[in-house]
Amino acid sequence: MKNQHIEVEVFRFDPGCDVEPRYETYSVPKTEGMSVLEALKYIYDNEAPIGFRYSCRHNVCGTCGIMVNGRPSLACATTAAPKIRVEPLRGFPIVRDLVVDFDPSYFKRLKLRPFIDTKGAVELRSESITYDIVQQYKQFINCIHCYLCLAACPLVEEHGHRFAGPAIMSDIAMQSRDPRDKGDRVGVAISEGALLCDECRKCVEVCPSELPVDKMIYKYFQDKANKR
Amino acid sequence: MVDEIIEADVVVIGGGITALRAAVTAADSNVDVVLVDKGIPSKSGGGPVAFSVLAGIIEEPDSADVFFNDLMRSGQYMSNPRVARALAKGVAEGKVLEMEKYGIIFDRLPNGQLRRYHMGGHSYPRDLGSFHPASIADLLLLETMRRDIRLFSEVMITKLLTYNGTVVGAVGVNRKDSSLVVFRAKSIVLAAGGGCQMFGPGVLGAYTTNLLESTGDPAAMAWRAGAQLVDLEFVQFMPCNIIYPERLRGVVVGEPAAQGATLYNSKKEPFMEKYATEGGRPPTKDLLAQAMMREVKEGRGTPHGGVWEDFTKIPDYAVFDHYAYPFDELGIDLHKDLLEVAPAAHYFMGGVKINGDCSSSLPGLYAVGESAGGLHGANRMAGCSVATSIVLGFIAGQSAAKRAHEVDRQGIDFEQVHEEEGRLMGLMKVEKGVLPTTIRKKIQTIMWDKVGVLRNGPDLEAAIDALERIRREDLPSMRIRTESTRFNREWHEAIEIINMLDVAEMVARASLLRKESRGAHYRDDYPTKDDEQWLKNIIITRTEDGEKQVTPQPVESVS
Repeated sequence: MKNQHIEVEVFRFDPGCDVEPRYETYSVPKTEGMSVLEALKYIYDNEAPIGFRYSCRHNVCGTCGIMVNGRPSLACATTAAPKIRVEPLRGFPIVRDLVVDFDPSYFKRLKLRPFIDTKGAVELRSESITYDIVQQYKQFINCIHCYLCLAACPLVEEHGHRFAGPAIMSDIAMQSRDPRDKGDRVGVAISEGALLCDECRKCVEVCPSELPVDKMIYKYFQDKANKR
Repeated sequence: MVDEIIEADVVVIGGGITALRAAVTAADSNVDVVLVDKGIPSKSGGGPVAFSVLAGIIEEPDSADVFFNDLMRSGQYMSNPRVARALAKGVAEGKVLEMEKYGIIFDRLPNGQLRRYHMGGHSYPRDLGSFHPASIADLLLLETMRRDIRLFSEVMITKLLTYNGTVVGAVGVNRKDSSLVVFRAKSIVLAAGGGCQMFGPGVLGAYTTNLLESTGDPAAMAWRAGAQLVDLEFVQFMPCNIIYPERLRGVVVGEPAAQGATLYNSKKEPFMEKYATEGGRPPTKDLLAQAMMREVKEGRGTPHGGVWEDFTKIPDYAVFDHYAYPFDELGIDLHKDLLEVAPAAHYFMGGVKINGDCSSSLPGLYAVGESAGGLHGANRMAGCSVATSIVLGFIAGQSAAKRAHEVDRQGIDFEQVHEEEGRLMGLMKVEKGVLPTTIRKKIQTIMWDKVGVLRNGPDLEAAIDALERIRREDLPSMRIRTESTRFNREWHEAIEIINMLDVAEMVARASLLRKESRGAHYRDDYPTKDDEQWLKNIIITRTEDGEKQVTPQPVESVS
């Protein structure tokens, strides 16, 4: 471990003044089990004021998503390999260096009217909330909206305008499991491209919460659509 | 140059459960609401790292009065009874449970009944399970969408604007493009957390369970605007958190009593017996944290300044259920290896002094959640953080909206705006000097070593001296390496450090003044509680020449 270094190639780009992006390589002294985030913080503290974002440090807030060697990853939850290239999360507008603008995802979620739709008052402590419903709900709340799945999804890349992508759809997929919800979630899912998903499972591979994203969202809506 | 002026009835500052709840409630009172968050709304605040239980249900023979008495006892009679009463009443009225109307689901037993927990300090099992409190923030975010509440994500408020002693607006910078945004409002709600990031110089963040954003901004800004603060000496430390490897620092692993684990010092002695409490009950968080730091201070600590926690005898690590921590990759086998754990700053009981309706001492300014002080007194009871967010967040939203219906929007004093702009831009201009990250670590080291879990007079005096020296010598030469207008983290950090330094000094000064030990505030030189002298709160105000005035004031009597 002593005197070992890792080589970190960082995407640098300030759209406010740079004509084009460049890569800068930094040598970072390795510490035990060093995460990519720790490596970035070392660079920031000791080498250069690179732009990067994080908040909770522990895989919960979902704000540190970047590309690590081409793979969408949470910087905090990814162990740094001896040689890494870090780039901003694919598919989002770049603010600076590794920082992207997540606002487009907020507006995509907003567009789906994702809040519960009960068509009237909600009964509290409703008996329709069974133990089984709770188990399904638990899966969805583990989606931290880090948007790695959007960066990994080939359909989002190809058909972004008609394929909303997993993290955007997770709200309505959750609501549709709630017996109190009366919204037409399946209709919205179909119009947002749910039938296009061919279960390539790229989203599942990158999900930091290890959720069966394809089954929870796309397979579920496809089955519902088929029964219509 | 002001880039944008936003007009609203109510401006809520913050983006966690408290802020979102206040914003949604205010919007329901038919006023125009704006929410401004330094981080990303629903991702910032305590939600993502909070525990999954919250006080939420009161049924016979339990009552609001019993809950109120529990709160006063846990807070060691430092709590403002009007605020504690508001929380107890709100929970009893079902203000927490009603969150289910937003699609939030509290845990159920296999028979469909609500799962209830009996947490420490509570007379009855009144806590509900919410799995992952971030989900509450997330579902409240969806409710802001339903109400078309305007959100300003990653806009950092740096100053509250006043006019004749009334708060009339705020100035902030958009972190993504450095534009200056002015907010003009009838009511401002501060719901932007506490200052736990000031304790301990970790690599990624302080020795804290909190997110990176908890830098004391709300208390500092409110104090500068002239508001009274209270109870800053009371900082809750969560006892058992991983401290090594650095990557896992701040991960809460649960207390031995709850987990069936054992704590050892560096001599592999199970030291807890020395600190056994009456009747063999497990020690409360404050006593446990103090016992652990006593071992470290007396030379029986682990290499990284903590103690060992042994989970090897526990077959099922339920405590690690929520999060996929990479123990394997870090070479840790919980069946064989002990974890290095130490206390970490967890919750600021102190903050802006509020009344039962969340109003502060300044007209137009409301505070709630960790930004507010007075509810939890000397020690916060388990399960009462998220409950406070939900119940008091509701009250703050209602009070702010009520005022917005009653008053006219005041003019903005643009001299204050330009002065603030000058201050912010001035930070960019220093070319030689100390980096913000270095100053941050200096403050964190002072606060951990001298104003942390175990305190004493000489240490506190030394801390105040050292903090004053940072203000004199380091702040004027705080250097920003890039003038980039886009997510200039270093510039934001510089702004935060000025806030952090102010609040750190308040914590130290209040701790020095309180010559007794009570709840989370422990002094080696005054190790016992002194009800004769100290049934008092410490109020912090700003003198005309900008000094921090600390004044003891008798606690409000229970009526």
